[in-house]
Amino acid sequence: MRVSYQWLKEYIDPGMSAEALAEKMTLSGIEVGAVERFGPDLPGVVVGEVLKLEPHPGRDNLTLVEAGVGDKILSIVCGAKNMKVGDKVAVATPGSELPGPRHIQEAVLYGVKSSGMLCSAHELGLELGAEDEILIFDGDAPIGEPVDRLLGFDDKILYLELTPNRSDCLGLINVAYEVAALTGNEVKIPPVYPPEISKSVDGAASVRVEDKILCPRYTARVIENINIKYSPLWLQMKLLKAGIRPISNVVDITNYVMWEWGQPLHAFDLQLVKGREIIVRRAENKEELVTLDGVKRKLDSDVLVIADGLIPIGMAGVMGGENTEITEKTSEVLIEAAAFDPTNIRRTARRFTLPSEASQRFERGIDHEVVMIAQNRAALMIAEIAGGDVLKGVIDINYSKAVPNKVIVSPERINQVLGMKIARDEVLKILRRLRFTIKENEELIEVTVPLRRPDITLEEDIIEEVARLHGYDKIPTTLPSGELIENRESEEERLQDLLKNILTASGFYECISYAFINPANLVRLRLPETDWRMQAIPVQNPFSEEQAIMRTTIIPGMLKTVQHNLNHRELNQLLFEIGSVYEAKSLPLDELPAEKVKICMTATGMIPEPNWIAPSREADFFLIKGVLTTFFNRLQIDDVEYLPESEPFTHPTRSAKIKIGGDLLGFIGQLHPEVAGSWDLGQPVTVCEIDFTLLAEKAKTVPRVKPVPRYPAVIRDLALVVPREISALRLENAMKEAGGDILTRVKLFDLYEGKQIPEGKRSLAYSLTFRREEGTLTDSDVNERLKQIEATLYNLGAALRG
Amino acid sequence: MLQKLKELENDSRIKIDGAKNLEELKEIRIRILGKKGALTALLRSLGTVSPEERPVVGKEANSLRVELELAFERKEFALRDAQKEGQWESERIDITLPGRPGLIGQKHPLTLVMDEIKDIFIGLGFKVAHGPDIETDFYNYEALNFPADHPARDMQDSFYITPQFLLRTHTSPVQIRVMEKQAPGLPVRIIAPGKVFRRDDDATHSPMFHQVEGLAVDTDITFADLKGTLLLFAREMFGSEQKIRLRPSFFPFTEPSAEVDISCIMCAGQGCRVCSDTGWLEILGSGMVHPRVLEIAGYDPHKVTGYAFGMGVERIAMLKYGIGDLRQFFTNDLRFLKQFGE
Repeated sequence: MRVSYQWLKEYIDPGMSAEALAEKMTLSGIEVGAVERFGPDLPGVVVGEVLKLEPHPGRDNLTLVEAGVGDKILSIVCGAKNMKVGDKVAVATPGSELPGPRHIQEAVLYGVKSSGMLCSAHELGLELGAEDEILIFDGDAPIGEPVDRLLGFDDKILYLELTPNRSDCLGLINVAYEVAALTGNEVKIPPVYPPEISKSVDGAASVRVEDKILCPRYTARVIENINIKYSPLWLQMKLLKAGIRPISNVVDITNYVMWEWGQPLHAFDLQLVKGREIIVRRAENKEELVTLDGVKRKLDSDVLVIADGLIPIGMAGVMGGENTEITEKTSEVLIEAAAFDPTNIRRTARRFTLPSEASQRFERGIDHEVVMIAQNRAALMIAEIAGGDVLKGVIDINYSKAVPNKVIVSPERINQVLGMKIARDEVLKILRRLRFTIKENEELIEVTVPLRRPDITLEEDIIEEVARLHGYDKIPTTLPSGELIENRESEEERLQDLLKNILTASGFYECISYAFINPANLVRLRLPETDWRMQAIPVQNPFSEEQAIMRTTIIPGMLKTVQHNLNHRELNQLLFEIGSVYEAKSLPLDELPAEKVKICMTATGMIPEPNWIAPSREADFFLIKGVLTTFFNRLQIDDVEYLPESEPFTHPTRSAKIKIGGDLLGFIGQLHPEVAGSWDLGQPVTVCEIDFTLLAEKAKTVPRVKPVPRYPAVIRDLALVVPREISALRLENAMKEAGGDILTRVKLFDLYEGKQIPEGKRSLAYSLTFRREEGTLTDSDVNERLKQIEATLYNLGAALRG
Repeated sequence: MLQKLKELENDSRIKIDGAKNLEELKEIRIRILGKKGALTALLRSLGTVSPEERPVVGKEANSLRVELELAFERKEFALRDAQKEGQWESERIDITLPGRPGLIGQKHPLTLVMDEIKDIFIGLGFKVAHGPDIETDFYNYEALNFPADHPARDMQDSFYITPQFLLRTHTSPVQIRVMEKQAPGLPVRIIAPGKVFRRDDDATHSPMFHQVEGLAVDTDITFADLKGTLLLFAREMFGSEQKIRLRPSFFPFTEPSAEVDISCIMCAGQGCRVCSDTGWLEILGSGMVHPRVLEIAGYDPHKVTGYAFGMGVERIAMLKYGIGDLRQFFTNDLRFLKQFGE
């Protein structure tokens, strides 16, 4: 809502500058987003009188104008034709400045000296009149007066950012009431009673409301003998300050009154209303209406229309119809001031994407009493400005049940809720300034709230009014006291934090990507239709296909991140995200989906980054497996299995499914080269996604400690040459079995394939730790056990290397 | 006798200083501290001293021995070092070479901020709660006093899944879920961090962002408690000099309601571009829990009161770290992420 400070002052004197008022309003609940000067300074542009007009000697389309600007007479060459001798016009004198900026100097135009320029409204920065027409002031404009002052360019516009509960401030009168509540100053109500002629409105027009729910009140007046023309400049200027384009006097007045009272009005050309009859009804299916914006709208029974005896002539509360539009030929108008059902108007405005100043007000609810005030105010102004004769009486179909809200308030409770002492007198003073009616009833106060403030229905609403007008700055600062709350952070919460610490300590950076993804990306992962991850939940109204479904896996989002970073030459990346994926129990959704927290990791490039001192290796399957091992060790999970199975999007022989105690935890694998290719990833990327909830279920977050061994260990190395098909796990298990309880650790410290090793074989070197819990091991104990291990390995096909 | 000791000390120090190599030093040592050395001889003649003087002289003599031992040791180090001078040079390292790269990552800046917020409120006795990202219309709107087809819903443009289900537009539904579960038990003190979704997309809005919700319900929670809690939060988060300002506002689920500003952290309230010359930055919305909301969630609004607040994590992170574009949080550019620690 744009509020002209000067216009507002017609209804109340705030007693302070526009800026100070804005600050005060903002701190008491009506946020003023900005205060701006209405127009620019126009130094040197003054009111002049046209003294003489002569044709230009050389050019037919130009005129020589003599304009008196008070202290001198200027001769000016002008391209416009709409001025006549005696007109008051805006003269940009030499040296003056116009918006643009444009500097006006003396010039010679086709052989004639021109000392300045006559200005159109556009040249002054106003969206007013035709571009090739000079702006002509009212006859009483003082010659020599600076034009910026005359036009009120020094006025300040306050931009109110209204919350939905304070739509009352969509009218200046109610803004004035708000200022009155802040300052205690008086509100001046403009005159609202029009002079009427003896001819009665009955017989001139009739109104029938068929749906009294959707239209609780409809008033109409008829005004004859109207002269449609441009509004006087002062009226046009006020509308421009409100941000409304002036059209013609009657239409401008309906807008003016809307700005003043917050009540939208509509004017029909009554001679075009068939049967001179207004019917407020639901549209019939397949009815059509061309609205004022020239668009043909298909209507149905959800839309409330204003119709004449035959066809719709307006979409109630949203936009009028072209068929009864006010034109230059109009001489008789019917003014509508009505109240419509907010929800219906809102739906209609949304459905046709026609948010208008009128629909905005109707959908937030208007004051049913103001309907009549605004009706009369408009009639008065039309009579004064458009020279109309107002017929006697108002048609008023009133089904409104609106009554002022009554709220009982206890000053004690006010203090209790606010946590401070506000004296009863102060409470009463605030309520009086709000112009609320007060009845004191012993301790309690009975407040009757005027209809303009329908937002106030509860004691809490009054508490807010008192608090905001008393000043939020006066509220003290205390802390709640009360019983202790235990387990303030859940186990899962702590575990997630622990995992993030392990991941960051392992060099991984945390990412957060959108929870919605492009469905095409699941197809690019080559997931078959039967995969549950293909059953993603679609968003009904996404911005784009990129955000069209809720993710069932974090992988696509992470690959996008990997790709982005590769494109920016970050070739070595360790990334992770912990976040939800969404699993519908059925589609379309009929119950809340399962939101499963997943941990996703990606690794690519050389880790650590190639450097002068520490060897770097390609980030691969084993890098991520190492992180998982840290997880499992820290969480004391030991029944972990890696099965050689791949995902549709991972490398067939470089992937694993991970299980804990038989339950599937997730997968790890190098991205399938085809998939990597379709994401434009020019280097191998390893991905992993595991289920956080299962991990949490299996985790022991508090480590259980065993005593530190008391007896020394014996360490022996063992180098083997083994056929490739024998897995490391098989070797390890074989050694552990043969080693028995004194073999406490088997560590692989070297692996080699290639030269010196026969084709199809590989060499593995282990370090074996032997220890007894009670007593020192002898060499012969260890040698004996080592022999058994060697024999077992030999049976597996392993050869010992010397 | 004391005089003799003094002389011996001076003489010894001169000799030790003058030693040219280890052999010479060794000889000097024997001559002074050896079995037949000067100090030993002096000590032997202690018997000639009067019984009164004896303890004093004895003590002096012993401490001289200790000091001289140290002097010999220091000189020995110096002579050894001098011998190895050539060797040191051949072992020199270039201390300006970079250190071994440590392998360490970092949490996302939004996580860092959320952790900080959580820590502050856990310290104040709040519990962490969570709710689903996909919500029902009831929890996201109805129960929070947003009637259907009400203009208040325009404040938050929603992504819908079905007419009944939507992506939550704020973390406030967690308020209802927690209260429903706990009612009529008191006190309720929770914070609920999480993702929220709105149909907005530009440099200051993202279709997905993060909020932290706070809720306290008890028999005597006041608006002053809300203000105190938020002041404490602002000071923990942005520094002990922080001021806050409450402005009346509107949220369907709180009454009275307040927008909360902190003094601009860029200009300390002087007025700058970041705060549009107001000296203040809006960081959160808050208020006293609306009686209708308490009622729906199972509490008697005549017997209990509560406060609630909700803050945008991105907004706080942007202020805290000086980040200009909200979308950076979700691009996960490593050149951005690494600035929070590498």
